[in-house]
Amino acid sequence: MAKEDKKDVIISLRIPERLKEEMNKVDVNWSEFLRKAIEEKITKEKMKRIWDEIESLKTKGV
Amino acid sequence: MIIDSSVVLNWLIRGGEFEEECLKLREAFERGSVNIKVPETVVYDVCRRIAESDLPIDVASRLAHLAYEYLRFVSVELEGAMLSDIVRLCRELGVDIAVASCAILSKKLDEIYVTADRDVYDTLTNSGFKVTHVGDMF
Repeated sequence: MAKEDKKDVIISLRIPERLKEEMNKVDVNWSEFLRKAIEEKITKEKMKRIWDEIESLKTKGV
Repeated sequence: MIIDSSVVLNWLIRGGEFEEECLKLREAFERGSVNIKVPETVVYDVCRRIAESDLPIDVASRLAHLAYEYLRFVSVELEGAMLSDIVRLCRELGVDIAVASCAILSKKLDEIYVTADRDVYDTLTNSGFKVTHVGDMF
């Protein structure tokens, strides 16, 4: 079984200063929130790509 | 919600009786309006039904691969204790293992079971399961 890569990397993003101030006002683990949001988006995009191929195959099959 | 092979097949193969409703459900899932799960047995049941379809062999082969790739994002692994209940339900109601898996999973997760099969709907509703027919959703 392949060893899971658990090494974390740091990414940065630019946001308006006002938004950063708002982020500081609420009790949210932003790293965790963003990690989940990124994972969900990747899953959605992968599924979308597979679905596009299914649609194209359906045209050939019927 | 838990969906069964009858719904997934309407996504994959054209001409099903409730194709339009099933595709609307998939679109709702893609928009994020509904959450969909399938027990892992449904993935293989869908492949079996694709194999038994009259699709050209190359199309069926590729479609099975894509169906697996798509469904693995929403499939739920079944535990041993659940399989015990699933086999019991197969015997008691005369349903196949994929349908019984959906029924047991929906009960365990307390989520609605959605099917495009009227017989499955009638059988499970009469036995007290929380089932909806996709035709009644839209």
